[in-house]
Amino acid sequence: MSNKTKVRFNGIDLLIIIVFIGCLIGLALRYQVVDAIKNAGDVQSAEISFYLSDIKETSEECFAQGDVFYITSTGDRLGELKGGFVFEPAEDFNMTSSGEYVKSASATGRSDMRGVIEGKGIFSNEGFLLNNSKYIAPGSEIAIQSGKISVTVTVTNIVHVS
Amino acid sequence: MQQINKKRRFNVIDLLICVIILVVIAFAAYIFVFSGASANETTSNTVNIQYTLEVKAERDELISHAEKNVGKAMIDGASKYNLGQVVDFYYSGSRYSGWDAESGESVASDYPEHSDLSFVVNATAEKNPANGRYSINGFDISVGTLVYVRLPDYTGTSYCTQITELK
Repeated sequence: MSNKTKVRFNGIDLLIIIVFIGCLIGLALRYQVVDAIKNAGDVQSAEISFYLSDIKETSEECFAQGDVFYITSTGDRLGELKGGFVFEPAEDFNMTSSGEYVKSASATGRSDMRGVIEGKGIFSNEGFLLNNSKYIAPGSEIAIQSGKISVTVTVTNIVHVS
Repeated sequence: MQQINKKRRFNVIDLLICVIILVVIAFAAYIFVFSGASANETTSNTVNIQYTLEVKAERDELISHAEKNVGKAMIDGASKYNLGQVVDFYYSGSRYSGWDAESGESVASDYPEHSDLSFVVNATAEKNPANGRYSINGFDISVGTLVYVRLPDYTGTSYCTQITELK
């Protein structure tokens, strides 16, 4: 008794394969894989200065030279915290009784921090591309994390390190 | 002896697969082709425009970075559209609107260490004769439009505050 079913490659199969390949190309574009591969040769070190506002005084212990920080949303490595970071009383903006807006230092023991992270990326015409793909520039607000803390910092400067 | 003759017939599942594939292809075509080209603009004309993007209450330490971008391409950080070339940059101290607790009157004062930044951008746009709106490389812009400024040395959130047509 012959009970063999022949499996033939037909039009539907071809369509499925095309759609599948299309999805893969879409994912590659979405995650800028092509850019990353294209720019892989020009990686340079960069010092990324940042400003972090209004953290608890006790959180200061969560920062140490050499800590590696990652971008929270993507898991991309941002870089290593350099020494020399400083904490200062958090700046506080308040309105006086006469309606003027004034700056003062936090009276509640909260702190602002300034520091530098050394990362890698390329300096292109479009700006700095962290790890060859993620654009950051002065003014970028990025959520980052180390093993000890998660914070949102404002990038204030990016300079090439030779 | 029983002979099993299995013919491959086009069935409901095949039809379903075809429909899903067509929907996916149509959606992709819409996203990649039409959404960036302002499909509703059937009759439009090309004009040169100059517009201003204002970033409110930016930290003063970022001014020096922002002003480096004159001559650079203005990109919208969300859509990645090229929105023309920055031709000028200026800034002024931010103002804060408070009120006097005794009199209840509004009081304007400086916002310490913060400034409003303005980028003047020149671009070629398509003007829709039907509604007068401008479209730059598929990005519809008018006064009040939110633009995520993406420049080589600065990024921030801005609103379009002025558009003029250049002769």
